[in-house]
Amino acid sequence: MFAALFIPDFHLQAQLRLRPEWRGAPVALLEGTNDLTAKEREKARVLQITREAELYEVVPGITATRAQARCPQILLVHRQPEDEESARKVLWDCASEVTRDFEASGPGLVTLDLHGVRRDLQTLAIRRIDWLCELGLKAQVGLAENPDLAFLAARLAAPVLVFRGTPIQIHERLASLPITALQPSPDWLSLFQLWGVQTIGDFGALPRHELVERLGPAAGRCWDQAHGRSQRLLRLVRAPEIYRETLDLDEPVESSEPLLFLLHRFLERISARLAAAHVAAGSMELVLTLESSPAHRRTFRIPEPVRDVDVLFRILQTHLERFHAPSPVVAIALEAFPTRTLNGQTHLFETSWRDPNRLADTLARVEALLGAERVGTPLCGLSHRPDTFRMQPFSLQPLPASGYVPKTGIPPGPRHECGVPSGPPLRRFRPRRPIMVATTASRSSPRPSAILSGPLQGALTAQTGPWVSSGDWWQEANWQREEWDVQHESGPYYRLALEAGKWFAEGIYD
Amino acid sequence: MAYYSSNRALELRALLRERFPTAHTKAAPTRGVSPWPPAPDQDPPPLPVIDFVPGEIREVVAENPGCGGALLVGELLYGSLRNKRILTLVDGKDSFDPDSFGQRLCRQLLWLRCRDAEQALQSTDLLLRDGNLPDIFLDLQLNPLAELRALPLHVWHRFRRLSEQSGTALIVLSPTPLVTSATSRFVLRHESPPAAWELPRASLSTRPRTRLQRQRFPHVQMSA
Repeated sequence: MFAALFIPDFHLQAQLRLRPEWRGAPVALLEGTNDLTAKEREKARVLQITREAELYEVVPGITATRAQARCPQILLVHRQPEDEESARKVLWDCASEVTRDFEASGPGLVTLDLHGVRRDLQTLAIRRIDWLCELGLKAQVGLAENPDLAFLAARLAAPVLVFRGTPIQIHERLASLPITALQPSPDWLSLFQLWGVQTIGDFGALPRHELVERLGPAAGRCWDQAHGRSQRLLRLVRAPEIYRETLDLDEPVESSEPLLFLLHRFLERISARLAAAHVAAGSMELVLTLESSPAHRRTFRIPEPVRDVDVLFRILQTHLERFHAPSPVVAIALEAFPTRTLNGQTHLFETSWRDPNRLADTLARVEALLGAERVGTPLCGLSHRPDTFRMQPFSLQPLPASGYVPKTGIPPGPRHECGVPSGPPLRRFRPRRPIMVATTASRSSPRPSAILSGPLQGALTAQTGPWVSSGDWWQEANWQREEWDVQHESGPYYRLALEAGKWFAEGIYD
Repeated sequence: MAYYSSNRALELRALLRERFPTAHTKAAPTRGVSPWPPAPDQDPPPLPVIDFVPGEIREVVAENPGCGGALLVGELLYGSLRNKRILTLVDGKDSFDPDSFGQRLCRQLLWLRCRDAEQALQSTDLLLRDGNLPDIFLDLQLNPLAELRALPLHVWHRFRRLSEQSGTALIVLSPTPLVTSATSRFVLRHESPPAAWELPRASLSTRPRTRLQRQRFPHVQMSA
């Protein structure tokens, strides 16, 4: 048995349910949206009307101007996609309460496969209609042996109609219905008028074979529908599952232990639901509503999607261990965003991490210890100004294994081709050390001869330089500097910099 | 049957040794530093190689400033790029200079910029417990000696146990011998590079300056 849950004038009802002040008023829904010009708006045709508008002889298909002429107080509205989406969700929720197997057959229409539903179907239909009525949607339900027949029953229902019996009996019941109930195309409708076909009975009396020859296979399906014989598979839809747990706390919470206890329970429930749907959590969002501060929101990306409670809990625990809320927590919400589990093996030449989730957790702990800006991979070459690299988060993507050179990639090559500067590398002093330097007179610039202060105190036996550089001249914070490479009397080489008349030890060549 | 099999194996090895004598000379390790040309027979003993060995802690002592600690980091970075492995640098005094190595060498680097030795040890401890990152380089060369001497000794034994459990390789660079549980200890000798500014980086290898000071298990191969 199949059931069709039908909401007549769906687009209009979607708006009426959210605007109780329109009840009892003549309202007409026009084609197009609110962004029409005044001229287009006048020419827009009426799509759907309320029962009150019908009393003024406003009918679908006439223009807005004519509707206003017939009913001056009529309220002309356009379609609202947000309202329709909200009504669609209500309808899908209603269908999914009965069975998971349903089809979204059209706007305001869902067809349910009731095979396996053991309850009394008529009572069930009435309860669903009442439920929708409470949410502001007037629905009709048709029950029949096939989906198309159920839809026809739903169109005629008031509010529930069951089609049962032999095909001949069903055809007799359908015979008196107007041909428009089969929803033929406008071309066919005009053709049927020429042929004098007014009802489904007239249409059903036409020979099927000749009808298909003239109008094509679609006419054959329509003919089967008129006889209650059409059979087809439902195109099932699955309502998106929301894996969310929330709780408003009776008393504000100031420590992390109670929150962790609650979060563990949340995760147990969410994980069970994820397992039932054969999916895993790809990310999570934690929202802590605070008593007198804006809510704390944090999204956790899970490198390898899992639904293991302990793994997910460790991520939350690591975060809460270092989180200090400015005020007590009054509500808590946790949502997991599902994704497919990784059930295939990785690439043959890829080296994946042993446990990516654990690595992500460890890096989060290290970031908590050092600061997020102090952990990652350096990105250099952003400016000619020295020491202006940027840290980017460490990538958890697996690396191709040793020996494998991808066709599109560039092999590492010899060391001198890796863009490595010549000479020994520098070890930087961060922050750089201000020093006093004795200089000797020179024609171009003073030459450092000794360091007079700090732990690097001593004579300089060799100097090379100066290397002058500058930048950001178009900004107020422009810079200009001289660099010297010097050898200390104790042996090592240092880099000194002269900037704004002050000397600094920048690092040691190592 | 076992005796027969072992005899056959010995015969096969002898045959292979005769036909391919060059294949039986010791090859340079493929990880860590760049390959060194094989030493001719009856030359001085081969130079020690500082590279990562899974499950072991190695210590490199740079007794004087400027004796090649950063150069060693560069060699290990090149090795990690060539072997497509991630090198984790726990920088005890935030002294690493990415501009000295170029973007390409830093591509497979995880850099932890610590403020002091205590932070560096805590970070290393977390990474060793994790076990995902195969090669860790703990750089304490610029940390003050007083700070390093205040570190508890049991930390190194814990690191050794964690390293063995997780199979992680750890190299510690320090200004003075610190790591009591190190499998081997190398010393970087001071050698002022005369006019090395224009020399390509590849010619500034740390190997000529390296001396193996201590080895816990001498029978285990370590040098080239």
